[in-house]
Amino acid sequence: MGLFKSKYDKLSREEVVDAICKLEQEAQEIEDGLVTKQKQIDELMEKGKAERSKEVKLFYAKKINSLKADREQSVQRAMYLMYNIRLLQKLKSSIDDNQFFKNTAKTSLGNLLADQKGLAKFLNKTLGTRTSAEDVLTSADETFRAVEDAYEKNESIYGMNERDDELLAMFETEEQVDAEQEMFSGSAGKHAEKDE
Amino acid sequence: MGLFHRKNDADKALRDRELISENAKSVDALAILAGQTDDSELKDEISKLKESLTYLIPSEEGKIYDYDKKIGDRIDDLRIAMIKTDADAVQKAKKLLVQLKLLITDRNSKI
Repeated sequence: MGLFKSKYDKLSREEVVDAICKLEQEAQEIEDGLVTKQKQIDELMEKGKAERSKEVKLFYAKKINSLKADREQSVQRAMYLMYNIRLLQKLKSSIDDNQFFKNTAKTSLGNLLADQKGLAKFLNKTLGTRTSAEDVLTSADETFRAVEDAYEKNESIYGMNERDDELLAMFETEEQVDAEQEMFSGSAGKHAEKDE
Repeated sequence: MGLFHRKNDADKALRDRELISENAKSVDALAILAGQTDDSELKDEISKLKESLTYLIPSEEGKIYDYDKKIGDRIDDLRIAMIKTDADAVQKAKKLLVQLKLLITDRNSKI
């Protein structure tokens, strides 16, 4: 940026708003004038139709044409003013945009994000905190597993001795006999059904 | 004193007070424009606005000053909208008025 401010840098929003207000006022006055002129034209048209005298009719006709010419001129001016107002509105928006981005960048969060080194440091620190916390859990889990693996089952309490083995063999035999009996009674029942 | 003078708190508060006073005066123009419409609701709202703007508490804080600048901008936009008197323009003016009241409320909550 140079040492000297351009006209646009010195331009204030208030000046643009004042200019817009002035033009809007003029446009409104022209619009009101157009409505009045149209009413006058309509009245004169009615009068002209009702009038019998040729001279008076001619007078009305000239007056109507004069009003129409004025109206046309007013319409042109109004269009020019509207275009001018539109451009000034764009200028006002640009000033607002400029202010918006300046203010947004000024806020403390905007400043923080601008510090890329600080941001990287902070993010790495956060990652480190997370990794340490996860490591604590996985270490605890490993400790659990190591202790569980070191445990040896007490055979006297949970293991099988001779007397237990004998009983288990007896249970298995009983189970086999029961199963055979079931099979036998089941097939006998089917034969009985077939005979019937 | 050096080439650049840093604003002290008293200067900042004075700057804000002046801006508040300017905004309150701008509402006089709005009252005149509101008088041109038939909308009594709009006229009432503008007169209440004058009161709430006149008694704003000045502050040396930068963000409060930014709020007051935004309030001034919104008053200017309202002035543009109220030049026209048709129904659409009145509706637009009422919307801007709501935005303005919100800004004033936000501003006061930050003090």
